[in-house]
Amino acid sequence: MKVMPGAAPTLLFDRHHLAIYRFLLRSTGEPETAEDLTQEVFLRAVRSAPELDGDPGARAWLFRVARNLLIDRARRSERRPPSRSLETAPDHATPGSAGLRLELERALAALDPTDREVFLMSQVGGLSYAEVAECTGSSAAAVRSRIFRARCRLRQTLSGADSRGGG
Amino acid sequence: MQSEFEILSALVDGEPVDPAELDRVLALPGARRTLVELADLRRTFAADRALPRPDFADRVRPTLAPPGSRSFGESGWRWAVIAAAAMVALALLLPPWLAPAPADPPPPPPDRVLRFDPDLEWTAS
Repeated sequence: MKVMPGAAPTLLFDRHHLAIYRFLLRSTGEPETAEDLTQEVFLRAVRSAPELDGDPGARAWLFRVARNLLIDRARRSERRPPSRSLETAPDHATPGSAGLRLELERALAALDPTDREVFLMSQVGGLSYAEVAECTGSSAAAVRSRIFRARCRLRQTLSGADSRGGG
Repeated sequence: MQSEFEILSALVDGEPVDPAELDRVLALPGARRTLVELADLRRTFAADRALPRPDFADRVRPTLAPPGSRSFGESGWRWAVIAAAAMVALALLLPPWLAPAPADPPPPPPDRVLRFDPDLEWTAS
């Protein structure tokens, strides 16, 4: 479908902003920061590639911008993406009890940062392994390994939480 | 989890896998249980429905219009150009009786000079 010039950024926003927001929220643990960064992602899309909407790689491109913004933010604050705030981020729409949500966030925070980034792009952002590889400059095989490693760690952490909760 | 189960992780994500390797791994002890756990873990994170504040999209959308396609209301400089053009057009099209009067002509040069002499007794006849 031919997209009218000027309408493309809005369509792009409507299609992808929730996935970008969730990725940024789970990466930063801060809803307001996630909103600001999401807006910045799409502003950069307007400035850099107004016709991006017709590009099948648009979603991967947006996640790459989001990733770069996270890296810039971490450099500016001279710290890694926060792990503690992940535990306290208000979140009114994730299914499950508050206790489960907290455990999930703690388990995510315990991941290796690169594993977490790759895992969130895939599982929360909905990117394919090839798209994640494109965003992160790695191979699809490396992405597959990282996601599996993240899952092993998550399972381990959550199992520990289960046994603590049950015993 | 054993590293052989990596293929199961890719499988639950819908990634292409080698059927022969999958067949081999599924025959390993614990494969079935692992597959179920991986599927459960995937479902947990895929169910993330966190949302930004309700007015977020309405706040962001207007900022996404490319500079060249913004409406007149969003482009102050366009209004300035339009106002200037309107003033020029108005000045050119005004009927003569509404046009501002031309400036007064300069006064004519004097044709005589009267001098005041303080010593003259002008009341004497």
